[in-house]
Amino acid sequence: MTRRRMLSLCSNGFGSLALLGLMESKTFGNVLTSGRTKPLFPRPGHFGPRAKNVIFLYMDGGVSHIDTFDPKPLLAKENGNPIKMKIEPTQFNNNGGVLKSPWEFKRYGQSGIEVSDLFPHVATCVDDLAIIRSMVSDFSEHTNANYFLHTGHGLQGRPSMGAWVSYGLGSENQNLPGFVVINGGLIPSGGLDNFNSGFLPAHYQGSIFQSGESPIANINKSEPIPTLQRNKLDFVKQLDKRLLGRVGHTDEIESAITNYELAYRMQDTVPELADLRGESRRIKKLYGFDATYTHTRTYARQCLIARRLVERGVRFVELTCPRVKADRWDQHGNIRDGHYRNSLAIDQPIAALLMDLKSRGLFDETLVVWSGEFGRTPFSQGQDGRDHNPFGFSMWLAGGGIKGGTVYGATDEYGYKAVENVVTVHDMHATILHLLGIDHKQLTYRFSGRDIRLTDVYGDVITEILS
Amino acid sequence: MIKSTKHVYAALILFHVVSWNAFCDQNGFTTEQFGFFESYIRPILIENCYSCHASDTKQEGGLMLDSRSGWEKGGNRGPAIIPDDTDNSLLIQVISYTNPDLQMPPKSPLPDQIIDHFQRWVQMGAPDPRTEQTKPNGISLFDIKSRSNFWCYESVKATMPPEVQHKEWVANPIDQFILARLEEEGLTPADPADKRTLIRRMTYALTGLPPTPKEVDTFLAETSEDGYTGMVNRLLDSPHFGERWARHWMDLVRYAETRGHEGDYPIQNVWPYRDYLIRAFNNDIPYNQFVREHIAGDLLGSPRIHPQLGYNESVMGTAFYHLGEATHSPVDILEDEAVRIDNMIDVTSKTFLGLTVGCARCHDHKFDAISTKDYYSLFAIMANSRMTYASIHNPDKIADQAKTLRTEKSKIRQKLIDNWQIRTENLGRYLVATSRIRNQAKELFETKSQRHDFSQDLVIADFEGQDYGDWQATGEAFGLKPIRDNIELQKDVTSFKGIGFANSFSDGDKPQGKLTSPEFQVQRKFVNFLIGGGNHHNKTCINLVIDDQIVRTATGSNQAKMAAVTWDVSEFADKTAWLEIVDKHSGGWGHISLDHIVLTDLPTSPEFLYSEMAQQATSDAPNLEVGRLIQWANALKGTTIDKSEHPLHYWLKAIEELESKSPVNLQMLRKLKSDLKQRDGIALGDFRDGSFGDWYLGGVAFGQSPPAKGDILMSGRDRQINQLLPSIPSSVGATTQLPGALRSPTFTIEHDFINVHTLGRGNTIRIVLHNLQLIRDPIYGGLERQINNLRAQWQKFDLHRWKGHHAYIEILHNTGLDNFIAVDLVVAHNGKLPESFTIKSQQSSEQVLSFEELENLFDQRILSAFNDWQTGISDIYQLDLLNFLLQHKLLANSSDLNDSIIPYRQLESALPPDQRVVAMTDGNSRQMAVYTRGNPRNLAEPVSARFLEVLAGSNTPYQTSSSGRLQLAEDIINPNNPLTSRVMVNRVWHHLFGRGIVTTVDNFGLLGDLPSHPQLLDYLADQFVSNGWSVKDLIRTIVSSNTYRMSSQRSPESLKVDPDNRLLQSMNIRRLEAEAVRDGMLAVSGRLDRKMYGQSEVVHLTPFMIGRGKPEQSGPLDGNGKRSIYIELRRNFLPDMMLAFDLPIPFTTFGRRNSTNVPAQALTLMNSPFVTQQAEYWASQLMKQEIDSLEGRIEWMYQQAYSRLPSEDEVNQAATMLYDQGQEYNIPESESLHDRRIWKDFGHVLFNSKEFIYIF
Repeated sequence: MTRRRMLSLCSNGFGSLALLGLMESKTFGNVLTSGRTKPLFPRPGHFGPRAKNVIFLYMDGGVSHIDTFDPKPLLAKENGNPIKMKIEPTQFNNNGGVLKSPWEFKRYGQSGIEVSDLFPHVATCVDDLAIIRSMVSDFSEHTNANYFLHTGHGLQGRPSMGAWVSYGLGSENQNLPGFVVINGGLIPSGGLDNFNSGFLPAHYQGSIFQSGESPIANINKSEPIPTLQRNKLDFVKQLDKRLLGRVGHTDEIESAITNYELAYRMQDTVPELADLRGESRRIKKLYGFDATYTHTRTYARQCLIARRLVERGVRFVELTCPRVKADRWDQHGNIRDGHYRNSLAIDQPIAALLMDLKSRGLFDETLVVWSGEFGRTPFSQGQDGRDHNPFGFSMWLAGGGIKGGTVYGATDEYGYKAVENVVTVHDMHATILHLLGIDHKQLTYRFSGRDIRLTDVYGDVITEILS
Repeated sequence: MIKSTKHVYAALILFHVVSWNAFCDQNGFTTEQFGFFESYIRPILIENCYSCHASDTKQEGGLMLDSRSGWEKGGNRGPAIIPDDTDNSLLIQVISYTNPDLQMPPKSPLPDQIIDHFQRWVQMGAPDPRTEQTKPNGISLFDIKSRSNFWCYESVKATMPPEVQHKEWVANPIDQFILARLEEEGLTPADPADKRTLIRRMTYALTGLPPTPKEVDTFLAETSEDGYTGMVNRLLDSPHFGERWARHWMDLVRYAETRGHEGDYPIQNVWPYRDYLIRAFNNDIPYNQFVREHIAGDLLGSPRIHPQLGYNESVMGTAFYHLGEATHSPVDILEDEAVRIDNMIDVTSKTFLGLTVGCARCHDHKFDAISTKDYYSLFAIMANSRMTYASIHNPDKIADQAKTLRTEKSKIRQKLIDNWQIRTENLGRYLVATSRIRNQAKELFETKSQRHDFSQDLVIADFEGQDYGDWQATGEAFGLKPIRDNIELQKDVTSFKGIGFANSFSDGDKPQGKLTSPEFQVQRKFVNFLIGGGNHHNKTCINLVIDDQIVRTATGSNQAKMAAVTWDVSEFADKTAWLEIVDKHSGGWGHISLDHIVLTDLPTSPEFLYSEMAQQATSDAPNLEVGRLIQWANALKGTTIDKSEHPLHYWLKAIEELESKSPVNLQMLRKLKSDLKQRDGIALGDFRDGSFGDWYLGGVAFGQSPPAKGDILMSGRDRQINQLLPSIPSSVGATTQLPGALRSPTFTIEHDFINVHTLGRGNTIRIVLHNLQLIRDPIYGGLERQINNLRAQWQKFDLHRWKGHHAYIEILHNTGLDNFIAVDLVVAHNGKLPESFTIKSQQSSEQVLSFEELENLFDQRILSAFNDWQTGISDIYQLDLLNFLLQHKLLANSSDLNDSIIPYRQLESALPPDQRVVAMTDGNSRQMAVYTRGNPRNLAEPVSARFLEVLAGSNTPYQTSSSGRLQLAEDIINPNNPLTSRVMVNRVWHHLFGRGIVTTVDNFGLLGDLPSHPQLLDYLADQFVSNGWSVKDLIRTIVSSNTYRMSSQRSPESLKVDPDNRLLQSMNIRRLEAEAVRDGMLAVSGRLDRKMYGQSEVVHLTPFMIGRGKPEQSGPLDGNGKRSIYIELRRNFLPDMMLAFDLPIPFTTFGRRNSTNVPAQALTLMNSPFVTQQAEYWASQLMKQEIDSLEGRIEWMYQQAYSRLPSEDEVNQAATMLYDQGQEYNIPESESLHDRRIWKDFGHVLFNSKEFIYIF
């Protein structure tokens, strides 16, 4: 079916989602919710989705693509020599010669795609991955690049993609938020606004789940005994009913009351979600719960909770990285140590997540996305580091709607700049939305005098990686 | 259903808007639909069709596509478009290439997406506002004439209130406007609200707090209309009024106190702006003045001075520009500047004008009458303005004080001169005698060293053992044992003795701790030891303690390498002492290393023998005073004396040589004044001729003109004279305690380097590139430098990476006891400083035959140096010499001048504290250019500062040599500008009713909503201006209307006809804002601290407020009971509770907050520690009341929480709940009245009811 055909099947005039957006923004501050009394109820997309949920594995700090998923033999050959290309301004402008990768690349799977020794576990799943080797970003510093990757815009204040997705599709679980961030310890540069709802209503903002026993704020009952709370809430209900009796039918108060019921239920569902006692030892071992490296255990827990969340119908789950000793993937120096530690923390849990999703039949309805905000330079910074590189980097997608064992796009011989089938962050967003059944051009929200989308005025779906 | 609602709106609105043609001749099209046409259809038509199908071009096939009538009529083949019918619309067939006979555009089909747009447009009914051929040349979409024909640009019309049937309902003209519309729709206004509802509604609206039960009672007791007026006046006069309305304003200016981004760096001195807002609203500063101060408060000829506080209020308004986010290391600084300024324009235009000018950054506004040229004219204004931290004090008063101080200081200077002129003899004699003492001490030291019996030394600690032995370690820092072999940590420590040493870096700088020695007797003259690590006095140190007093202390010098230190302890002979090695510092260099502590008679250097030698020398030469001699000897301690930079180097060398042979040549250095010629460098600033040229002076520190004579620096707490300054411009003409700055005009960087010839202490030179104020590593750190050199030097800045960029140089005086900066030359060059700017030294030599001759020569030199300093011609060598003598108290100095210094000190202490506010200051006017498609590297036509053409009525640039902000301010507040007054009255209306007359309060443009009551809006705007822009009068008028006093009970008819209540048949029900929810709890619980103003309370950090730049300390859970407006707002650490209740993220103007319903709100009220803490506090207040019935207690709490009494049913239900809780807690019924737990639970419940957080 062509897009045009799909559109014509869609409601007349604006797409149904855009219309909803307009309706919502036409309503006024205090009654924002009355346009959508149940803002997180599931809603249909523009067309049939290939995936229901997204797990976004965010690689904070900018993973070096040339040390992970984009092999460049030329680097070894020219190691130490000046790079034969124009060098763009870098963050530190302390640029050295070509720096070869400390890791070897080997071919894996039927597809024979090369993956570096940093990811021995993920490599075994390479036939499930579509690797894009031609990503570009507009920004070469963390904060702007993070905002851009998350919100499609380099500045603070726009809604994160998770917020857009739950705004577009609602949630299938009415006892949990639609967009959850499982924090491993590192909040990206730019702070929590990477996960915010921007100008979208607050329903859609990312809820930050900590890895401890109380994953979200104020989820633990303030009363020592459940009855004490129940008594209170029963009385609150009486008061509120009486109030409604006095003031008559009022949308916002009614939904505030409903809201208490959700909050009340969340007090149970959220701790239940974080309680992993019911998971088998085999599964825990698969994820890396008994790994010797402590940060592998952290990420294993995050990945397992991610699976539990998508199992429960949470629309968009994002994972931040654990706080390894060498900081995020941002190795301006000693890349050998820093990248090793970061990959050691996440490799086994990610592979386990992919396998576990498959064995539970969730793989086909879950889109797993792995990406940093930019890549790193093929030339060195100082002796043994790499600076930021927004001109070319790699990411991969797997799961629902993705053609596994694919490599799309390419960088130049050094891996410095994307040269073939260049993919922008907007393209990535368009593709993710597409897989969820949303036309990225029609998912809009009226703010500041214009209809704003996640993809701004850009973005094309990368059909070549779709199954 | 949805569609019909929209039609109702459209109908309601269209009826009242007669001025805008596009809405007149079309039926039922919405703004969005026209927007679709403008976005997706019109540009395509122009680009692809007009060249053949427009009225002024070929009109091929008779078809014209440049007007609605053109396609309606169609060409030779009939109508081109049939609305709602894509299949039969010829145009669609043709562009879809489905019609084999005709395919357009002829060469290749349009992209699918565009064809989709056309299909959707036709399905919509082909909304097309083009009434005639509006584009004669068919090129530009932008036609200011046709666009300015929109309601919001039309002048405010003073309309007579309309006639109404039910005149009895009318309390003031507002009611006529409202009632007239209701009557037209056959609606009846709701009944008046009851008095309790009213006072609660009004108290929250005007002060953001609930009424107290007493206030409620007073109001209930009043039965006349006066009671209402009295309440209104009381609330308008309440100091809390300003807090409430300042907070509304802060939403508009994206108020925050940090920069967000990666480091979330603080924006210094933001809170004075918040206080300014509160005072401005409380004092009802006319809104036009308030706006004038925001736009150009720094430039006003006579700023508004606060009558009591003496503040310069006007300058504080300009803080708003600088509250946006910012990064410290933009890789693309041009783009970064564009983004920063874009945010300023966005906020400025939305806040004051209700226009989204920001949309015109990349292209002419898609809908509004705003061109890119308009945008870049404002851009020029912002780009030519600069950030500063301005003093908040009355500038005239400060200038007067500075003048008096200057006069007083010149008296001191004169006294000093008088004093010295008679006191410069005999210096030479001491110089020679001291030099000899030094030599003798050196010889003696060598002899002693050779003969010393080290076995007689008493080792206190060598840290060679497996543990600390009888030393006691406390805290974590020193670990359990000394470092051995230096294999663990701290690998860079060197110069220790043996293999072990004590070190507090066990786990980095953070841990703290202490090592304490056992007691010992002081049985030798000296204590020697090796020390390394941090230079933090009292914090990373070794102390010698005798009789519980620290008698000696030493620190490292921020070096890992250990250095030898000697303490002369001869005065403590045989006393009992002990040592402590302390680490009380956790930041950088927060550690210490120690080794080899011994009691010995052999010091580590000959200097410790000076006093012994001096005694000996005076017994040989009775005309020398032993005290002065020791002073001289001490002055010459240290190592730099052997280097030629030392002011006495050549003299001491000559003395040494004289001792062995005679005569000798004494070398003399003299700086040559160079003449100034331009070669391959240029002077950006040259103040040597007594003028600051085109540089800008901020504050008073630098005076009005550079000084002609040598100056003195008054420093230290006691304001002594320890430093003479050359006759170059410095920041301390009057005092070190007043702020000021010297700034260059903005220039284009054309050279690789900039050198600044400067001296100073604790002050700063910055190169501000494209207004980048957050100057930091990794990229920009080199552009800001702390100046800490007391002798004039060239400070070199490397700018080669930024050639072609714009910058200005900023020389900042940071106030402090000892701080100053002096500058005379700023030179741009390409590597080698041009000869004409090098300050050359000339060497001369003079033959000296004897000590006596040398002594005389030295005395003469001092005198001439002193005379040269006075007249302003001294060179740096002369000043070095004088300052050396001065600082070591070898000259009669200021201690003799105390009588003169005391009045000066008194004047200084009368100065106001150095309080600043982040503010604007002007730079030079520069033409800017339109950035094509917003790209700062793609410049189009030049533009100069001016106002928006549609409002100014012309595009003539301002005649100005500076930014043009002052003119902009006047243009914005010009009563002929229809927007400023309308936008503000609409904001006030919005806050009082929960919705503006124009609902999109920040956007009055085409994509905003149309006013529900346009004539009322104009009536209010007109009144507002003619009442002197008084916000309080405006509020008074509105709340005195019957409209405001209606109940929130909707009538069924109104629900049907006007579901969103745009016509105000009743009052809107609203949820309280985040701040009001929190403040309301504090007020009810009794915890509210009503103290106003001042530094913000540190934000309380919950475990969920995480990320980079997190503050080290968390503030108290209840913010010390302060109102929310006083809680610090850090961009990356906004308080959870505020966010849950829709505090806007401060990135742009938010005139209208969201009001959502999210579980986080319920969870906060149910479980947040703050809420339960307040319930607890409230209960403890209740316990103090002398109410001894259950019912009485319930009533007491009800009145506080809801401003009303409970019904009988409610009392019964409450009693049941209290009983149930008591059962759970196992509280006997007899105790229930006094058990705080159940009352805390009851209070908690009242907070959780919707009645607490909604206003009716």
